[in-house]
Amino acid sequence: MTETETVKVLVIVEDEPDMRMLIKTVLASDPRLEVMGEATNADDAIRLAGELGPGLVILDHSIEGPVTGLQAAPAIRAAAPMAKILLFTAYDMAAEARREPAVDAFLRKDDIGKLLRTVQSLLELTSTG
Amino acid sequence: MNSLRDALAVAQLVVFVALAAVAVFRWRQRGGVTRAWLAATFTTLALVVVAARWLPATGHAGTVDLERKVLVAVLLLFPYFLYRFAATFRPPPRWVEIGAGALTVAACGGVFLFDKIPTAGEKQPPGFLAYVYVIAAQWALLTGHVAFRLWRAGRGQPTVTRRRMRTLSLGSAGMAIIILVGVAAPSPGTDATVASLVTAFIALATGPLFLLGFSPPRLVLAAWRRPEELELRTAETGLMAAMTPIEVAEVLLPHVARVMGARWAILADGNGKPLAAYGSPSRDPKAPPPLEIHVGRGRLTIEAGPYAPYFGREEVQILEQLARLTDVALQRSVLSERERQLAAELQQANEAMREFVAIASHDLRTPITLVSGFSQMLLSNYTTLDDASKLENLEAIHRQGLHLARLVDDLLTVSRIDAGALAPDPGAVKVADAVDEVLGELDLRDRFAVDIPPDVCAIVDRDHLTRVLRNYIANALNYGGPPFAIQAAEEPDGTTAIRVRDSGPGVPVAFQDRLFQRFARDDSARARDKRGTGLGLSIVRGLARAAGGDAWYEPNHPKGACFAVRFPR
Repeated sequence: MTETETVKVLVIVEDEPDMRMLIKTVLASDPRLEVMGEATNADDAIRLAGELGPGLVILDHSIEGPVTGLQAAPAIRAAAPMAKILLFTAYDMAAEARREPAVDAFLRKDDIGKLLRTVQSLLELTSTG
Repeated sequence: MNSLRDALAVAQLVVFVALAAVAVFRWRQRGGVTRAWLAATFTTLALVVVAARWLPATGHAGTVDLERKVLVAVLLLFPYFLYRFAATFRPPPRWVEIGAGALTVAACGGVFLFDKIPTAGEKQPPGFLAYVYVIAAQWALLTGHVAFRLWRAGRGQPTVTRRRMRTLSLGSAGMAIIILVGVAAPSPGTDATVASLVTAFIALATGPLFLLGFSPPRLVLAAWRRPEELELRTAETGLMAAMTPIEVAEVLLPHVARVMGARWAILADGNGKPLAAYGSPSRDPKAPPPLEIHVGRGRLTIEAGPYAPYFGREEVQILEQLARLTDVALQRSVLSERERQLAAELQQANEAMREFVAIASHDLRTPITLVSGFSQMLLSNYTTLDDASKLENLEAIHRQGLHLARLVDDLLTVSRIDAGALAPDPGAVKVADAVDEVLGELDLRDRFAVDIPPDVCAIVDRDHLTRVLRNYIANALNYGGPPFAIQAAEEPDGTTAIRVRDSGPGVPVAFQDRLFQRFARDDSARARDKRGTGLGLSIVRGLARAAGGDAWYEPNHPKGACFAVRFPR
């Protein structure tokens, strides 16, 4: 299992501090995942994605500033072409997410129980449990 | 030949007496200077024709001569009266007036300069031929002038008006031709000459022309007004399809202008506000006053040419018919516009409700997810987590639980406001007491400078007032900056206004309009740190309005924000 040695870099774009904390706590149960960057608005998210070249960006829709998560997705993808983008929001917007080519997956926040598995599957990591 | 001439003379007599009778009847019936001149014109003609018929051919020569002279003088008033009739519409230039008057005085007075009027074959006294030319000039110029003016003025007029003017013009032209033929013809002998027959025929023909002109029979009118009737039908169809008052006006006015031959027309609503205009009103101060027709509570104003009051009665009737239809169309269009407006408002309300539900669901889901997520974390990893992590998780659960409670409470208040189910219990509340109570509760007495006279009261539900105050105070602390102040005063409009001021950065101009809307949140990072429910200010406004007051924002001077609310007192 070479994957166990591979650390996958993640960026969380989320403006609610408690939600960022919860996401990090959930992801901490898989040591192959490392959250290297956190952003609360689109500009910081795009900058961080460019700097860190993450494997995955967990992107909230309702973020600080005039640009929404969905609107920021193409720019994040352009900044980090290898990154997968997971739109993780409390809004019912699966359809909108599907229509945006830069978004790879959609998960509603109340399905947070599925967050870890979704992240692992997007990063093609075998499930740890 | 003589019997034909006699028959023509009798026919002339009948026709001219009938014309005079109709003209006098019309004048008595409808009055007006124009009709008075016309009555005078044809009465003169009828008098002469009747008198000539019964004037004794023999008798005391002097008497007969005087009667003849008077008759000639009266006859020469005919063209002048006809000219006066035409002049009532539009005064001719001054030189024409002077010329017409001078010629008529010369013609009427000149006859008395001669001892006797020579009969056919008699030797003419000296100068008589010149006098004949004066008469011919007076008659031909005046009748010709009337014929020319009426014909030319008929251009561009509605059909009935135009035809009436032109038949009158033809009648006048006939009168001019009679005198010209009479003067040009060789002096008649005892037998009727061809010329005298021709003039008799023409004179006879002018009768029906004049009659058609000043009193056309209904049948003729109906035939003449057909193009205008068609215009009315087209207008009716257009009016039925018009959806807005402006469309009604736009459909109506071109038809109105064509029916009246007017260059401009305006339709105004009940408040006198023009709905639409066709052409632009004449600035000529000498232009006759426009025609005004009531359309329900509104008004239709149309250019009225000088000929409209006399010749345009038919058109005015058509317009009145059109005005009644327009009123119906206007009322209908107002109703359908209101209906469309209501439908749009309903749709807007639906969209607002959809958006409200979407945002409310989002805002409820977030704390619920966090509470359940953190508690799940604690339960699953309770034995492995250190105390610091456990405390962190518990604090997050507590924070989100409080936020959730606030949110649910605000959502319930909003729905009670929407449903009109607030059930306030208003009473006279001393504002200073309520403010002191809230500041005491929040332990903020030393941070807010209070300036409220002790007897200032507001008629409001006390709980609602304290909720408003708590909200404004929290806003000032979260988004504003010190020094903070609360003021209340009686306003001149019979209300009591309370103002909560701070000296922070104030509300960005772009956000001020949305400030009191639901889920309106300032997207600036500073505002995001202090997360509210996004419903506070909309609730404040809802509570204020339920009490008969209002809530609003105004910039503070020299800097900062001022949130204000007023209640009846």
